[in-house]
Amino acid sequence: MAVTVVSGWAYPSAVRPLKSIKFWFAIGLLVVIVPLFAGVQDCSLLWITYSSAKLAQTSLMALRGIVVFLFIQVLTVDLDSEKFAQRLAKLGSRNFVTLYELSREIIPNSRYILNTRLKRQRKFSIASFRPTALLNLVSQVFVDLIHLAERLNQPYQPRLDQNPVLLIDKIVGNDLPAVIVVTGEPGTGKSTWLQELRQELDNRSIAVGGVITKREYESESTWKLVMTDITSGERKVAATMEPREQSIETEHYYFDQIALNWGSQRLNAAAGDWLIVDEVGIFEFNKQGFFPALQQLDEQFTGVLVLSLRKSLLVELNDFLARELSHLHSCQRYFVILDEAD
Amino acid sequence: MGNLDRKTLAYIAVFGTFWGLLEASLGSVLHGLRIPFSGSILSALGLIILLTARTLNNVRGSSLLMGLIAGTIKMLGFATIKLGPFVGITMESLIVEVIASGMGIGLPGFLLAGTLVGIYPIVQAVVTKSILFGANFVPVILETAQGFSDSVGLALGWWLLALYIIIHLVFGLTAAVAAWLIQKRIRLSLEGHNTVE
Repeated sequence: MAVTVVSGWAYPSAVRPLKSIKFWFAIGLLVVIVPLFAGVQDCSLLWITYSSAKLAQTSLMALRGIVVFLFIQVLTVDLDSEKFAQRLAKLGSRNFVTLYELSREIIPNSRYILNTRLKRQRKFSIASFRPTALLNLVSQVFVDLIHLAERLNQPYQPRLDQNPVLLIDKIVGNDLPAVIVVTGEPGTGKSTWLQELRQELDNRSIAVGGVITKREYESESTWKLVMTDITSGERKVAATMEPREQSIETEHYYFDQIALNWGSQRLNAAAGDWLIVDEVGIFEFNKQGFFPALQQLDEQFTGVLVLSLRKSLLVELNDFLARELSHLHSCQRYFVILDEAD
Repeated sequence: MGNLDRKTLAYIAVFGTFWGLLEASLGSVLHGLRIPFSGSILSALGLIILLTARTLNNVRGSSLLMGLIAGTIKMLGFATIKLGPFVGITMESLIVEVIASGMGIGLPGFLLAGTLVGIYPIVQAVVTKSILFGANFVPVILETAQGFSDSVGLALGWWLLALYIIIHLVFGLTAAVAAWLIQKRIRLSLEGHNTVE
């Protein structure tokens, strides 16, 4: 059972919501206010008359309230938001699963929109609280949200063939540098596809470097992420599901900072016409992970950069490139979307 | 509610996430500061988001899904699940869904949604308290209002109850009118009349 420790006192987490002031307000209303005004006033305390029958009735109601409240808390104490979302998804809406994944990823965008608009409104004055000013502010935020929705709705063109042979044929004849964005929902085989691409490049004696990250299962429900340097074949455990020393905690994993630095160094050292960076994501967008290597590439890269990431991060990737890596942002960009037909 | 198109999914995700985020962040601030009627303030903001999003992308089922997303996002802010806020958000979106699907999107629909969403927190409080304290909760409160009126005079107990309901209605109707004005401004802005900026 989960236990909360406050000032040296340990108590089950299920009891914690009993601190809710609203709940005790309702209890107070029942056992203090009701007996003063309802029923026959047959008793008195310090010259204040009250109904003993009502006090007995409402005391029982209050006691029942505490018991039912605790019972509900005990039933739900082990239910976190992830489990809750999974149960909702099981109710049958496929749309909900897609939406929930998407929503988790666009929280930073939404927060950014809200903060930006509020910052512009910072010159708070009486005028900024006028109804027209408030309506304008909300309308501006909504227009920003509409633009975000439109960007999520992009068709992501031009598309490249999912067949690595045809893809390489297409790219080799085009202007370089170029950025290929490989994406798909989790589990669609991005890393496997990158290995096939790498194999095909090897077959054609085209120099390729970079890092590929793959899941390695320890049991049915636990796995670790292993990073492989394409050039040397050297491997490092990038993340585990259990905490480790110097690890960075994310929603599902504990990432090894040393391994991430190693991956970034391997990318910097990679010499090839093609460079593969698997699993770009929130770390990079927050200037961590492979960001130093990408920053260095931005100054000098002239080949083909292949980036793989989750589909829900595509909008964020575009913003990230525009914000931090202007050269790579200006390169011709292609898309390979693995869970959609070409 | 079959498989929705990409544009609808994008709208639901963006507006649902924003609503959930607002509920989680502003909700903590309002509840932390113990501001009265904080629940009504949040549901008014939610109604503005719901109605505006529905006018921009009028697809059956989208409001309900938006509520489910917002409710689930709000849960992320809690250490354990609190069913009350989730049920409140979902019911609000269900009210808008039923009205938008039945009456279409127009000023009468907005005002009806404002009225129902406005008084919904009272309905939820009555149901929740009846589950917690028993079916006698409502009769006991009404008896107290009557007793208070008899002791103080001027039917004050009943007036306080009426005021409580009116304040909730005002929140809901103000939100509905604000949503109506906002969606008009947004439409003008998107059509190229730069009224928003």
